[in-house]
Amino acid sequence: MEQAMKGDRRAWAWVLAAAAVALLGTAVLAIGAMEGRVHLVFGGAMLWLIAAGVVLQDRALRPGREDGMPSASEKAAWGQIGMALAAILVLGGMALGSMAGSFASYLMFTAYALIVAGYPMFRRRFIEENRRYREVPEDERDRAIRAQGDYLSKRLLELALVALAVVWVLAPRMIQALGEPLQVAALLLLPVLVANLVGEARVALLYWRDRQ
Amino acid sequence: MSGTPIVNEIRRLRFEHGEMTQQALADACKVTRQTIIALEAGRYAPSLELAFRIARAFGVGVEDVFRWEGA
Repeated sequence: MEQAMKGDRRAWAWVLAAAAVALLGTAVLAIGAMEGRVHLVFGGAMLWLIAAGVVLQDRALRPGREDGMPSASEKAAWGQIGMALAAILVLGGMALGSMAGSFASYLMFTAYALIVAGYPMFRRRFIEENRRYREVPEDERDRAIRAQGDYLSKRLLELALVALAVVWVLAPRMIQALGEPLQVAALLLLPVLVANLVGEARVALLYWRDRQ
Repeated sequence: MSGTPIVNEIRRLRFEHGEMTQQALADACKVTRQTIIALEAGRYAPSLELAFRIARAFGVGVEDVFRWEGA
């Protein structure tokens, strides 16, 4: 009983957090639309996506059939979804010219690039810390599910890079219009993040479906 | 993981072995409890190695645990 009440309170806290993020997203979107600033419109839309992600995560990580609790790998997939959404918000904004020329943008870019590069290490650590005592961290089913997500990520990344290369050749002015090298760098990191996001979403969906 | 044509007797065997819990079987086979749940629900077909581990945990042959649906 007490556990259920605690769970309800937690669920409400997530809903309130998502509502706050959605409200902020609406405000940013409205300002962006009124002032004609593309990066603000993008930021507002991303905040909405993050709010939707928060609600979905709360729903998806509830116990399933036979009290099937989410595994550490499933939680890690949701962690990566959140990280990718936040990174797309920041780096996508940078590619569109947000924080142009500021020292903070270089710091943010470096921080996110390091997070992306170091994610496999963070993931391993997260799984180790979240598993039960003596429980195996991951097994063959986890690897099979992950392989499906990785395959989708790889295909998407290939397609995105081909698309980027085609744009570069056919419409070089679009790339040259990006004022700073940092904008180009952020644009190059975006396909990696979007591919990661979609792959992890597939992993999370497969885990969720297995527990229903 | 989608449904599989391989059906199994894991649930029945667990109950015949002193109501062994899913977690106990998972620990014996070095997999997660979620994998045992997915196996019992017929949502996952195990590797040959895991199939042998499960059969050994119950002290029976692989064919006593798994069979092709309709066979």
